[in-house]
Amino acid sequence: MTASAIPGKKVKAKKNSQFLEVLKRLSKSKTATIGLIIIVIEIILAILAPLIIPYDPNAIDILGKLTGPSAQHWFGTDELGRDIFSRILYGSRYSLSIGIFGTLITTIIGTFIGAIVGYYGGTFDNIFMRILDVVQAMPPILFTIVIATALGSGFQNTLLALAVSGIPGAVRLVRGSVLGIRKMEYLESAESINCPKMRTIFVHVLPNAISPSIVAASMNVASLILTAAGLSFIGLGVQAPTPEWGAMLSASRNYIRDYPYMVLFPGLAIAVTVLALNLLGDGLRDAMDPKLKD
Amino acid sequence: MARYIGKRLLWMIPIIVGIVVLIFTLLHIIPGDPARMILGVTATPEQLAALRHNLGLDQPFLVQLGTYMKNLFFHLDMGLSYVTQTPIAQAIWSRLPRTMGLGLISMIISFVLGVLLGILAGTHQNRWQDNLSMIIALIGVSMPAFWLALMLVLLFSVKLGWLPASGMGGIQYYILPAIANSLGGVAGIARQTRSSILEVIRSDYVTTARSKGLTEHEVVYKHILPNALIPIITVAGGSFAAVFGGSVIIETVFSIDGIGLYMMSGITSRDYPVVQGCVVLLGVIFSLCMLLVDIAYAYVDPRIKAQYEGESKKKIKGVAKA
Repeated sequence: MTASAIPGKKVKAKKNSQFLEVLKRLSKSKTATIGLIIIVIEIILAILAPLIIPYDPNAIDILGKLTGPSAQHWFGTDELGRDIFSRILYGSRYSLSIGIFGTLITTIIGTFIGAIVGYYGGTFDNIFMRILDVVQAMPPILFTIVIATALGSGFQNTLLALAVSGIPGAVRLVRGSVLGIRKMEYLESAESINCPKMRTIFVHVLPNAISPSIVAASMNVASLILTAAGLSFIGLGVQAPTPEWGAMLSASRNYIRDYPYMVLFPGLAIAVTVLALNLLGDGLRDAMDPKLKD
Repeated sequence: MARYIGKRLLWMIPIIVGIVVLIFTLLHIIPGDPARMILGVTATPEQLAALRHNLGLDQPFLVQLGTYMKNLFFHLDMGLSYVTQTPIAQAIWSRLPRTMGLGLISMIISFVLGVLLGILAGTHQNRWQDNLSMIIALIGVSMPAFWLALMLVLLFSVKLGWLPASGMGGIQYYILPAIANSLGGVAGIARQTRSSILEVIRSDYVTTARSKGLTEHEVVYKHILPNALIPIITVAGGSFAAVFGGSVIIETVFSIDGIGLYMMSGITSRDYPVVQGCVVLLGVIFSLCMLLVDIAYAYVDPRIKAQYEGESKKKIKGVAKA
């Protein structure tokens, strides 16, 4: 714990081993490993999607519309004859990148603000927390809907709306763990040698307060994918004909009576992805929880 | 206890004012001219100016905000809808019972089923009951509620024909929406219940209770559960947020004409005063729910109770001594 106050290479060695230890413990959990494998495969598929999809995701084929799953069209075709399998595979790029980049923005901005607010404390902290009280007094999805309405629909705006609405939670989390170590001796010693405030925050405070944020971030990717799909489903997020999973569900819900496979597969894609992320997040939490060490 | 509740009630005032200011500001920055939206592209500049004046849109932002808050807080007036030109507050009030009904049923299902599943898992750690409950919970948090709703419709309405697929009416119309809306909450609460039960189950007082010869039922419900309840209530509060927010999406799936559907119609027709009114009301209802959660805390957590009761007891003692 106090190693971060020791200058030089030792700090690096310690961090490295901590990272490796977490990885080692993570690999011991079967479910987390399964989650990790699914996610890695999905990311690879998403990156390679343009090369491996059997059909153009937006190619319309009216003659071949609404055919059920077959050897040619694994997941069938939709109301415009587009290949659902190709659309889902291509759509993973939108869903995964909303989840991952949205979380990155949330976590980076949230951590930055949270660390500063927690470290300085006092009136500044008090005012900031009361503002967050107001924002968090609303159900998160409502706040997201309002921001999405204000920004307008589309991929980038959806990403932005989701990222912004996650920031209050991220700030609160980091602030909490910064407050927890605020009185530690290694911070006192950093201050006593007149270490610049910003350096203290980023070199000494953050590395010791960040693990709850990492766990929260892994869970956040999952919830962002769910929320993004929900937004697209009600027509606020990514718009048709973009093959985002929620948008696909939104377009296909009118066909549920006669062509249920159209609704089944995009939803399964969301559920499997989110399930894998949750498994990984659970494993990560257990692996990083200091209480479980030895 | 009364002092604690009073304090929390007072704190609601700035929160509600804050919500109104925040929502009003966010929806105010949307580009576009509401007057043009109402009158269409054929309107003359004079007509537009007149309408803007009527709606108060030519006033500075702070004046508009002030007028809105004054009408809202003192007259419960949320203004007129751009599209239908009818009072929004009235439209919302008439839809409130449906949204509240769905929300309430979902919350009850979430809490009862979540806690029961969690107890089952926690008291049978690593046995099949535990595994089964946790698999259900994991699947529950991973499925989008609206997709589950569609799948339920597919099974129970389209295939089996047991329940109506959408619309409003008797209790049978609420069964599928409530199940779809509560599954996420069930899962979250079950997971938390399990882990907090596992935390207390090895405590000395549980061993003592067992050694006294209490039945397992008594041990679980009188000794383990009350002590495990605090973190469960925290998670339950969060799940209520999901239930309330989720009802917006669930209402659109099942065409339940509640506040969520009204809000969605406002969003698609760019009727922002409607969106504003709905979000403000849902926000206020949600903060009231969180207030109830906080009060529940105070009842469950003897430390909070003692903090306030202790003070009044001290005062009584002081008076007695004097």
